[in-house]
Amino acid sequence: MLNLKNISFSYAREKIFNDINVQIDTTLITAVAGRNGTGKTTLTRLIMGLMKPDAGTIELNGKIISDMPSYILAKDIGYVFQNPDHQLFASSVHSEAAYAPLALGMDIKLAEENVQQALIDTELADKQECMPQLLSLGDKQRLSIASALAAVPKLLILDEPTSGQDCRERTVLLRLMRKLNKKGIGIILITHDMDILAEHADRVLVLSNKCIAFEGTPRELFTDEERTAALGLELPEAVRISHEMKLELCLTPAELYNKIAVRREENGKNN
Amino acid sequence: MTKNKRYNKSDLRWITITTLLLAIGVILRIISPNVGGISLNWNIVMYATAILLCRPSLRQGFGIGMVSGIIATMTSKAALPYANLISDPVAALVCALLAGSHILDFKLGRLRLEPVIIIFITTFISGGIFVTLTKIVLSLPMSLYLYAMLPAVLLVAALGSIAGQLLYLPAAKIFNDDNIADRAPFILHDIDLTIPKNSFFVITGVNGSGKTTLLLSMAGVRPSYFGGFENSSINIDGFDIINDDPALLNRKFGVVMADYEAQLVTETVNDEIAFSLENIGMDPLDIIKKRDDVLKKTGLEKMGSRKISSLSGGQKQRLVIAAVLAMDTPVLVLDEPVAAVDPEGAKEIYELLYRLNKDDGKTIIVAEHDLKYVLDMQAQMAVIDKSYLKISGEKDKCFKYMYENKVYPEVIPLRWKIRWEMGQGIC
Repeated sequence: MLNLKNISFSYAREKIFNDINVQIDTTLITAVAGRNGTGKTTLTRLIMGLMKPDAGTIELNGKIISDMPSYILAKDIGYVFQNPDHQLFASSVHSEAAYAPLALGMDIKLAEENVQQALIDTELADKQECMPQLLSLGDKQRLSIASALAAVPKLLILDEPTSGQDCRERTVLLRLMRKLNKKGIGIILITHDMDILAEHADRVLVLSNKCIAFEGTPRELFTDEERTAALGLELPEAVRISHEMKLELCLTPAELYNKIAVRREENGKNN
Repeated sequence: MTKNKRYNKSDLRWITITTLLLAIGVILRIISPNVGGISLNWNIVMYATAILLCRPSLRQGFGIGMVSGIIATMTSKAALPYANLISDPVAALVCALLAGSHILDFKLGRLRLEPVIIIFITTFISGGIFVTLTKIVLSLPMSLYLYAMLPAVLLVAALGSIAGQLLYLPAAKIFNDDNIADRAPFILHDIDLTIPKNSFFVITGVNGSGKTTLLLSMAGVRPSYFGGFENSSINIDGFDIINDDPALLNRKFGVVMADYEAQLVTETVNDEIAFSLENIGMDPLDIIKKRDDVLKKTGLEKMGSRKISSLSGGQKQRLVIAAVLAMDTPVLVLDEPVAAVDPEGAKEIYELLYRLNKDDGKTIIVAEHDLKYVLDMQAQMAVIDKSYLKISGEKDKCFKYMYENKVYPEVIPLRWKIRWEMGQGIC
């Protein structure tokens, strides 16, 4: 459980957060959404300890972490940047993934095991000797996840992991995210893509106007169309289609297909 | 455009490898023993190995031979060292020709015999020319030439070819010879596109399929590893993309790259717009007029004095578009313009592009994965898959083709799929 209590934060002149309180269940996939500039990335940086809140405390599993230095927090929380090119620097996939655990002082044997596991999880095991800069964008993004995973974090923060990726790479990445969550790693996912949010998130936080404007499940969020629009969010395509077809609210394409099939059967019976 | 050209002038790999091997050759030549007047000619072995490793063009091969010839002339203790200036370049030229054509690429089991054959031929040609010249210039007796000098050349060639073969294997490993095949130039195939003036055109395809290469080549930017087009003809707004002068295309096509940050070079919004205009020598008063005009068009009129670092992603993206607009190019080419922008910003950008297309008559070409933004527009589409143009034309036709042939079906919008799979008319 990640507990943010009375957090306030401002950059030089601009106030970003004004007294926010929220609990994030670290066994689930929690999506953070909101317009550009509402502080999504700032929020995750506060959690990471990269920046300190002006007021308030952050607790992880009952332990106050907001005054801990970020290198200690890095053992528990992994962070994956939006642009993998900003975080890849080693000369091979293997040494890239091994950097974090070794830098955090992990035993070499244990680190090697974790690196191998992380590379297997991210489907990069056969590319160990490749140069990270020459990988495809999807591979790069998964490598930056692997290097976070190798440090065996309890919580993984993904900042817009799907931006710039094609639909195929996106599917692979989201499948990986689900798999990691099943293994017990909590995920905080910053995303603009409402289709992804509707399909994959268990909980949603929407930031707006210096505070948390919505907290709940995707279904609760998208039930209220007006609020969704006011928060600067779009409806997912599946939700929109289910409205147009006057079906119950469907969050995912699969759900939509099911509902349409059911309705067809009913129509068939009636006729 | 030339095809299959492996090394460009800008590619320094062949120079690095050759220099290194020639240097090693000089050292080996000095220290290797001389048995009965015959010693291994390491110079030739080394440049032949270098040519085999990087398979340069004939001109580059000749240059390598020339350098080796000069080195040999300076270091040789032979009676007529200047003969090296002729023998080495000629032999290197032949070597480059043989290596480049791959006609001697024989294998014995898993062992490649190409090095041994080519180095033998090269050494024999070089040595043959050398001793022949020596004989003629110094008027040596024919018997010495036939029974001593030529057999010695054969012996040296045989020894050299064996040494070269032994050397080639580890060298190929170090310099990664096999990877050269992977670096074969990227060629776009069957790109038969005609994009008329004033159209809105969307190109889609998986990452790595060639979208960006195609977009950049439209603007005359042809990356050095890009091998060109095959069986293609591209006509955009009357410009022949494949044959027209890149400098002309560059003036007629404005490009917004996927990483827009890379395109922002100044500190403030005003400066950014003025930068390219100043570069073409526009009058300052005209610059101000033009600047205000494009900032208004892109909705940034109040932000002229803002620092670029304080803009949001969507604003930066619009600023790049404004800077490109200022150059008054009839065609705008945008590579995934909304990849890093929030949904509201993305909508604004597409609305802006739509207005530019409708009101200003710009031809707009966009590469995009997220087709929901262009669904409501009167846009034409093209699908690129594995560097081939699969289909182009109306959206409906393209989606249908992609769906039926499983070409990147993930990108087809959900409502289209539902229409086909469930027979529901919701489009």
